[in-house]
Amino acid sequence: MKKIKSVLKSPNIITGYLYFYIHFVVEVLCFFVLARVVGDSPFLWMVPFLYDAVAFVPQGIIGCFSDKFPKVKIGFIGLSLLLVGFILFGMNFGNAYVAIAILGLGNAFLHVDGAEVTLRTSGGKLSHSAIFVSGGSFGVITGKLLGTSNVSFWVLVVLGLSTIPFIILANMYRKEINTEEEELEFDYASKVSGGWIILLAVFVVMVRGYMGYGLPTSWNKSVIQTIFLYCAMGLGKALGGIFADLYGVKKIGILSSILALPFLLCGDKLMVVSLVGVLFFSMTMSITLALIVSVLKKGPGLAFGMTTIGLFLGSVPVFFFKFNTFLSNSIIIVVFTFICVLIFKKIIKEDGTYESY
Amino acid sequence: MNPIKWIFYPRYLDVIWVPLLIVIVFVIVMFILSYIFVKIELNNINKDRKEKEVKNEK
Repeated sequence: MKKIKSVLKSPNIITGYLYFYIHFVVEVLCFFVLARVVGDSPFLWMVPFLYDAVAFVPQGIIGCFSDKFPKVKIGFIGLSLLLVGFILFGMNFGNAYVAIAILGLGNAFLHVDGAEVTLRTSGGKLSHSAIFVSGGSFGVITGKLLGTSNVSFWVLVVLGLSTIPFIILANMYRKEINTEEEELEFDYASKVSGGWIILLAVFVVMVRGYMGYGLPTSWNKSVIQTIFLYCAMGLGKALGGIFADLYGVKKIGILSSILALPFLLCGDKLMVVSLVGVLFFSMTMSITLALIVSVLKKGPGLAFGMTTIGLFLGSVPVFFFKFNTFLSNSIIIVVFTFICVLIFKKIIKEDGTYESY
Repeated sequence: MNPIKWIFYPRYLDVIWVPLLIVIVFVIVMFILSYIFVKIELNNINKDRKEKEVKNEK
């Protein structure tokens, strides 16, 4: 516990907390709109598909732009787009698809800004970006719940505006550190060629993105259980980064993947067991990001964009094809987990060969 | 009704197919651009590394 506290108080970790809140609010707004438009209808799959495409895929390009032109305030561009899309939707101006596309684009800009700020201020640690990323899971479930309630959309506009001081403050930390021209201190990748590391890390993100939709959770039938599920995901993402900083990236990457298996497979009908599995399962998120940043040391925005492209590719098959039985799901999870473990073994540098806490 | 079969109904052409085609084109363009940017970045990294090695040798 003392060790975890030391990580939570490490230099510039505040950027992680600032972007945790911003990420939370961004997802609340986006999933509020998606819940209002789609509800539980399986026929309106085009709407989340469009949202995923616009929010996830262009992050590489936006990230590359942000790496090359650090003075452009992409956080504020993102917030403006997000609010424009949200207000267009709330006021019923024009086509709902256009509003959702603008909203998704705003989400993409803000994600890239979060990645830039947390990675550049972290000094080569994973916890900053892991804490930032974890805010999304809490935002998704809050947005979904608010979308099905009677809350006025203006309340959420105010919530969106509340992120302004957080974005300003986070960018001040980034400016203070000023690592724009330098290589980031991430050094977790093995000696495999950079192109292969990026390709394999994106593959792991893709596989785990797909598996995330097929996790056996037949226990999940009520709202409160769904809240627990998303909280476990968020907590797992944050703990993945924190534990990786404490005990080593390779150890945590491989152990969390393997330990998730028995809990996920035995927890189909047992919530607590399953939640432990989900927690372990979510821990690899920041590890794949750190691996790509270890290759693209001057381009954290582009590196973050690669992981979101992987997430999109992983989510695409879910729109068209799902394994519905427990057995088929379990086989997929076991096979792909072992593939991911082998990849981690190959592409992560041995623990202890880099500085940790 | 299966959602996939549902999209083939002609009356949903402008609701599903037109946006879907736009999204597919958008995604393909973004993939190609991302690939090109990563390739350029990797080339720059290799170039930097070689320059450093040459400097160190000197």
